[in-house]
Amino acid sequence: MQDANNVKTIAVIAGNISNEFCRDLVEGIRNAIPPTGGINIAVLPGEVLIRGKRTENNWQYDAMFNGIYSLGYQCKPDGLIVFGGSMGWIVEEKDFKEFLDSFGDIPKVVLTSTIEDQITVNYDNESGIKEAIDYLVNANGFTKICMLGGVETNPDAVKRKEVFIKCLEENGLPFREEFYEPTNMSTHTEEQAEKLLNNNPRVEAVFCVNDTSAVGLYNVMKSRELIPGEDIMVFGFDNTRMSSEMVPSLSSVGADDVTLGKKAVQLLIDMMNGKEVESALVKTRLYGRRSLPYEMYQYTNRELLEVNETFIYRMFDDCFYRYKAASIKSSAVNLRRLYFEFISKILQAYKNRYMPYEDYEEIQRMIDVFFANGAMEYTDAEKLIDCTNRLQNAINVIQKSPAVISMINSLFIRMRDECIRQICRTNTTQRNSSFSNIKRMREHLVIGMDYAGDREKVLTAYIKNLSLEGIENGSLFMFEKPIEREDYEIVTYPEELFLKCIIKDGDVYLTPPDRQRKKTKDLLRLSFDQSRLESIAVFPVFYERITYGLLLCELNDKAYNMGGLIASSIGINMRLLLET
Amino acid sequence: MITWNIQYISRSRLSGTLEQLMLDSGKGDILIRIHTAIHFGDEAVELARFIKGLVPNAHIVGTSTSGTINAGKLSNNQCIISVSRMSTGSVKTAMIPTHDEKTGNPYSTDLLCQSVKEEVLCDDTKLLLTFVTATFPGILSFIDKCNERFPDVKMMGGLANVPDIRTDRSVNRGYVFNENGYTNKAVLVASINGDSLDTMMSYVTGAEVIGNEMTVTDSFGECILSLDGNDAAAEYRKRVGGVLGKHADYAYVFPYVYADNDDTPFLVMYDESKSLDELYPRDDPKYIDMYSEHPDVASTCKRELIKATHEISNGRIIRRAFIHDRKIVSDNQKMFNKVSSFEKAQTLFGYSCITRPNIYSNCAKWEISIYENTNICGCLTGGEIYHNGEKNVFANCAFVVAALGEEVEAQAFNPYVFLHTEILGKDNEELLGYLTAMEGSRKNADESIKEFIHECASKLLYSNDTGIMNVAAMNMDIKLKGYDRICMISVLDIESMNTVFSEDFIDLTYRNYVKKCKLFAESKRYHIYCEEKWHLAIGARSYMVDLNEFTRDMEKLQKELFATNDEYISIIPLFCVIDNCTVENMTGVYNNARLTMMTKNIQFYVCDAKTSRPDDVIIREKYHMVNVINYAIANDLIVPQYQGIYSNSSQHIEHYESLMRVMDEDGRMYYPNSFLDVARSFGMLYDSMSKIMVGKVFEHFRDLTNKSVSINLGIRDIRNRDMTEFIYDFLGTAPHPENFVFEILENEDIDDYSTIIAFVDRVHELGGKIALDDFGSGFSNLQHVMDIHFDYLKIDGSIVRRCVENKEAENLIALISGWKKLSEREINIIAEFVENEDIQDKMVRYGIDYSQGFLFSKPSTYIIE
Repeated sequence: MQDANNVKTIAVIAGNISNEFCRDLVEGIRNAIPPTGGINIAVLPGEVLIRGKRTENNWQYDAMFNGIYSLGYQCKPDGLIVFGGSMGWIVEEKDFKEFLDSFGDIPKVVLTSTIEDQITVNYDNESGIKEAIDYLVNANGFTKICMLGGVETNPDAVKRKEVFIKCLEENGLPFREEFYEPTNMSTHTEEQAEKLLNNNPRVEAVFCVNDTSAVGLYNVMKSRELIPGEDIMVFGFDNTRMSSEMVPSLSSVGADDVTLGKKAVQLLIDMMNGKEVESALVKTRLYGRRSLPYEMYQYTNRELLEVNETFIYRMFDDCFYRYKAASIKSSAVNLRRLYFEFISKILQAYKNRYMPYEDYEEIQRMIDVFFANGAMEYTDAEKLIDCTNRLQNAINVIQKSPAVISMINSLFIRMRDECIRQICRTNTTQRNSSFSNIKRMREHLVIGMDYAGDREKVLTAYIKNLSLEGIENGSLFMFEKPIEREDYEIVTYPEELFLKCIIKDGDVYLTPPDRQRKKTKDLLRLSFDQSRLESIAVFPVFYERITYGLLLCELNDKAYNMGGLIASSIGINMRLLLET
Repeated sequence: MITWNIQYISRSRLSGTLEQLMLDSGKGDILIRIHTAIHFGDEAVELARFIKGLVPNAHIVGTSTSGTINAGKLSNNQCIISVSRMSTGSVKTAMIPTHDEKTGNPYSTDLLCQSVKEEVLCDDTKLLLTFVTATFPGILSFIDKCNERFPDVKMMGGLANVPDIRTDRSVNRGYVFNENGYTNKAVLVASINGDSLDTMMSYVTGAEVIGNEMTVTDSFGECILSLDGNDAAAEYRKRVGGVLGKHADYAYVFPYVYADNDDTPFLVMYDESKSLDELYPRDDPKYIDMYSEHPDVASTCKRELIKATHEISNGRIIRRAFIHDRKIVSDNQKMFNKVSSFEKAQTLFGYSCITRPNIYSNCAKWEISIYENTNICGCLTGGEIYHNGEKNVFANCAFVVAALGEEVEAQAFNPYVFLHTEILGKDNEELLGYLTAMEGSRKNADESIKEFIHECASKLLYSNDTGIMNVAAMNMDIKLKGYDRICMISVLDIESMNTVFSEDFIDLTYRNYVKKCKLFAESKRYHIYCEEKWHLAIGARSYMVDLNEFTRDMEKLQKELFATNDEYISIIPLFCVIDNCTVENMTGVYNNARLTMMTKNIQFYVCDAKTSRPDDVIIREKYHMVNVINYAIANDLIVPQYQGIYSNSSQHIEHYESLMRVMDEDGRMYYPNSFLDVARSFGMLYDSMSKIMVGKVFEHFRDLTNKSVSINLGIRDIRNRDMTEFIYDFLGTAPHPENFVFEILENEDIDDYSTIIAFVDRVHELGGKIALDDFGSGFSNLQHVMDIHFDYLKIDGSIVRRCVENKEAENLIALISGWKKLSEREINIIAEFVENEDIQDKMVRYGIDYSQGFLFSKPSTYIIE
């Protein structure tokens, strides 16, 4: 158990965490926290401010939302990680610098942005893109390769374009302007994709500046009855979870060994310990999926027969590529070792041409345990099926003994069955929980509707039922008086706030009035102490220009997807109960 | 060559498996060994025929056995089929009758040797598997003849036996077989040949010679009647122990060896209930010669007899030996070194003597387990034939391993087994009991035996009655199979149980406890181990079981065990789940956990071996601090500082508290929170520091008239006579003893009132004062207030500091102030940590006498007014 005084808090000034890219970054940071504890993560999620691109209303909402960033200064965390996109991409470097300076003189690491005099962590854009383009040209003989680019203000987008041109030229393919089409890097890239395909009717492969921008391209291809991966090869960047869920799954360039988040945390911890550090580049590689089939490794028969330990572990790392970056609790089942155990048993049997029935049963059991303990979390279904097929095919090439091969084949079938079963189960559970979620949120809304007249009572009842919003662990703080701000960009919260309730394992505990008063500067530390959580997200509760308080919740899927919505919904109810 | 070992389950499974092996490709000769402990002779032949049908070109040899050896395991109710296919070499087999079919008389060994040579031997024979049935009396001379006739051929094998061997008679029921039939009157041989084939053989007996050389002066068949002219049986009993009469089995531990071949034991049986007539019926034509050679022998009366496993001729020089675990372990080490360094180890054969598991069952299991991951296959025999490096021999109680192959290949040996031999030192209780009893009863015993018995008692291997694995097995599982989540289960206070309940009742409870744990573990597919009586462990693999799931299961088991039942004594088993267990860290972590469990009085505890190990940073800091303190003591760097205490009535500072500081060589100052705990844990350091400190304060204040000082004392100081004498001496001579106040730390648990009261009284008597420090923190005990006659009471800073913002803290101060008013004693209250005016206002309002804190004075080396 760590001494409470030694626990450090890292605040993360993130962009919109319901966005795939930001979410993966935050997860990367969280997974990088040493399992021995001692470091807490507080995520301060914002919205991407893009004035002019969206309605004024939207802009104002976003600006209010971003007020949460001020906690990065008010709460005096021990370290700070700031996402390059947290202010929106349309900001001058000068403004961003000012923004960074506003957090005071604490160790800071900036992600995906190059700012002078700051420690930054960025993708080494070149290695992964080069790998992809070399493969397209050398292995497939493609010559018509285009790119859907990004905005000029995004340094990564600029860099990726440069690398793209460089790689083409290195392969003897001169770049022409019609090969390139800039986008706003969101999912709405149909217009630009149309243009790109019209300008290049015989295009063979398209590189999308990020995964999100590939969505528009997919839509356009679909309307033209073109299939990614068959008619046109497509690959994106960032290797987000979304890329594996697209249909067909999107090949993407992503971090090789160390994720951006992990590197950032490593640097920050070093800085917090007083060490000198330097900005870092994170090496990238291409993760092949259906939209551009590509494998890093080939399984040779020799390797199969040798039942080599490193080989099997490499197979695991290749297939369950998310496992390495994930923070695995030491109490959990060690899936990597388990995979090694049963694959080596299978290969051993293949080598010996003999599998005792007891071994067969044991392997079956191991496969069941493997999938029951969340193996699918760390790979995509397609990836696993492909890997399994490749291994199985390799084994079947040399029919050493029909009987043992039939046993091995039935084990592989079991693996695939389990994989599909797990995915179905996850989907069903998700659907069910999202239905019940909506029902509960509505119930909560009704509680907040004030028929009785006694506002105080209704407010208490509303807070008492906060768990209906689906928050399992968290807390709600209110200001003594709602604060109204005219100036959207600079928000400072009052020095004191009131802890209204704590939610623990789905139960709400109201705080007695005499214990509610807390100091804003202690907010994060207090929350970690009380909740025993290691990572939280903080959302502002506001309506129009009036902020009522702060909602803290455990950093989980719910927080990523619904945190902002829940906070806004509470804000609306506060407004109804307190102002009218 | 390639070898597969298959346990026989059913014919369909067997045919499936053999099909899988695709043996009938006609590539090389195939040797199939069948060792069965579950078939009668005709069934075994059926099986052999069945196999022959599936693998027509196989050479089949089969024996009955009392136990099979397969993949490092010894099983007593299995049938093992071992298939070896040669790459280039050849195999020849033959079953040669040992007796004349018509007369029933045994053939001469010469003839037999001749047949073996003709039927199976080739120029390039490297190994001759030889199984003989026990009806053949001339095994020794047969082997000798073989050595003469084909000295270059290594032999391996033994006497076929059957399960439930208890007496020598049943050995006769062992049979050998192939697809053509079975018999108990034959020698079954298989020659393994080939230019590229290489073999090596090694053996273990564990026998150590202990007696002097003796000459057999009279023998009768297998019986040794006299040694050096003395009655052999009486001599043997005298040497080995009187209890032998009741436990004739123990004679196995004390075999004889031939003086010229002293690691090849032959077993003797001791019997006092038979006459020679019973063993060798006079009317049996076989024995006519023997009786005519011994016209005067007393053959009708029952007499003490020792009988060997083969005929012993007069004039042989023999010595007594002793088979013990330590020798077994070291012999196995040697054998393993040989076997594992042999390059062409494509196949391993292993044959062991039935008596090994009978005497030292754990020893036998252990020595076989070294070959756990190899393709070793073999069985138990009634005695082994093997090549001892010089010649082929026949011996009892040996374990023989042969490695053979045509190409270089290594087996996956399990050398870790040796790591655990040290802790295998638990005893086969029955045998230990016997040996201890024997030691007491034998006054005139050989001293050398006595020594061995001592070693035995501390070293014998463990075979408990629970039938579950022992610590050695657990360590191996942890090391090799990834069993790294271990739950230790123990029941304490067995002693007190013994005083109340009968032994039977306790035993019943114990067996129920073990049974419940075992069934539970098995139902969840966990492994269970028995460390010692009442101490069990359950193991799980971190790659198969989530820690939380394992913990839940263990909690469930604990509840089940605790569930009261009239039939058994209620027990409270302690459960300690250790994650990330390794053989190295387990004991330490478990001991720490047990301490924690004891201090917190909890019966279920989960800890992680990785994190519960002491942090080396902390350890390093601790030792650094010890150095600093030592340096400070030696170089006069223990420095008192003084913090003024403000009198709320006189509004002056007239009293000081002395505070200890330690400086290092660089002049850096350390405060008590960084050194006090370290100093306490090295008690002597604390004593020295404390004495220096008190001495300096005394010196400083001795001659001051208008300044008083408080000195902190711990309970340790008050118990330290040296310190108290020093204080008394000083007070006795000081001009103003009333200026010295001794603050007794209240946050230490005071369990010894008489010492404190004596100290307090003495100080008062000498004119000094007493204060109670840190009132309201730690082990706050109002009893102190009643029992210790103090003059000052110091309210703990943690209460004072919060009295402005926290109403409860304020109430406590009001309470103490109110108590003072009610009390008739003259007591002054001091508040520490008075940091600001707000606090001071409260103190004044509640009539607190003195205030101490940064508001008035900071600690300093000098006294500041």
